[in-house]
Amino acid sequence: MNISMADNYPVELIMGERVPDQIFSDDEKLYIRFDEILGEFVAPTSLICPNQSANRSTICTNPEWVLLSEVPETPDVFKDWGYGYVKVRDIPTPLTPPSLGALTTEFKPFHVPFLYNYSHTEIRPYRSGADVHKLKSNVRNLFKINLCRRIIILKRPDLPTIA
Amino acid sequence: MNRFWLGDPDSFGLEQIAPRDGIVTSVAGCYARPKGMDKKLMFINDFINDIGGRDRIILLTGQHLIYVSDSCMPCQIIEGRKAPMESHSWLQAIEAKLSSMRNLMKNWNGYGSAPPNKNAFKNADEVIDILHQKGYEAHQVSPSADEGIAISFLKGGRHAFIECYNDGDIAAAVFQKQGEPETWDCGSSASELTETIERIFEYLNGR
Repeated sequence: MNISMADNYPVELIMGERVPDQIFSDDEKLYIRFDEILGEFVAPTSLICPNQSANRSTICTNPEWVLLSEVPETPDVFKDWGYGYVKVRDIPTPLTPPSLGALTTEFKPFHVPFLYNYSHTEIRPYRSGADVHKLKSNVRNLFKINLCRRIIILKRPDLPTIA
Repeated sequence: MNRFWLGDPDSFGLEQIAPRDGIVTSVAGCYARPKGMDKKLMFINDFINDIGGRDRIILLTGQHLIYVSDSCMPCQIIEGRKAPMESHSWLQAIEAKLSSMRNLMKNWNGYGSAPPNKNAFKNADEVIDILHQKGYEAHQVSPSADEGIAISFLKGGRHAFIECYNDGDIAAAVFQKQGEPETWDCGSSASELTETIERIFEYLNGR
């Protein structure tokens, strides 16, 4: 990040000497940006699984900051995107798709600070308490659909659509 | 694979103007036509040579669409189909959106996602072709955050999407505000995609 961007950048988001904090309250909000709406919901296909990124609200005190790019050359690239939040208690978990028998996937927030986004968090999948790095598409889509139905939209994207 | 919308080939021998990825490209031509060769075929053949010979072409001729795929010889018209005029704007909007996706860079969403690759474009093209043949329309086409191309559908409170992933896999899902969503993997053959599209539209239509 260059000096001019740092001048305008929220100091709350700069990691500095701070370390990851894995304690999340059920009420904590996870702010998520997205580029597309489908009907009344965030489009599931604008979400990522596994490891959907978010900004945690105990650090990211202004929801709009989730639209900030950490790339100095293009700080405003996401300014027309939408954003919203899901509370930790509303993360869709556990998921047990019928096609996978009794195999259950849990999803939890994991604090993954970046140098210029200390609030950065990922919603990660676990099975039997262990990280899962790859999920079948039916589990991914089930998670994305259930997540999109629980996201409270604060701002809709202002991007061209074909609809 | 790009698509190009052309003017009426009956003006063969005159300058042709074709929007190419949003940029108007002038294709000058007064091509010599071998005796006995259909002038429409000759036009397509020469145009394909002008643009490099490997792209898919859709030729808009009045109410008929003719396309030439990159998998066949340039002079072979492999399909002609009736295209209702009212659907042209939908298809053109889809084409424009797909075209814009070709300019996406790695990490286009700031979350590390790769842009759609040739596998995703190939399969999305196939889905769009089937939709068009069936007279169906998609609500939206967009890059997928899970890396590929998403084709979304919406009717009333019923939602659906098909995701064509960069690894060549294709998956689909349908859902409403409440209730358990249905998700499934699709094959990439025309019959499997047709089955998925029919399943989606049966769902959207409440059957």
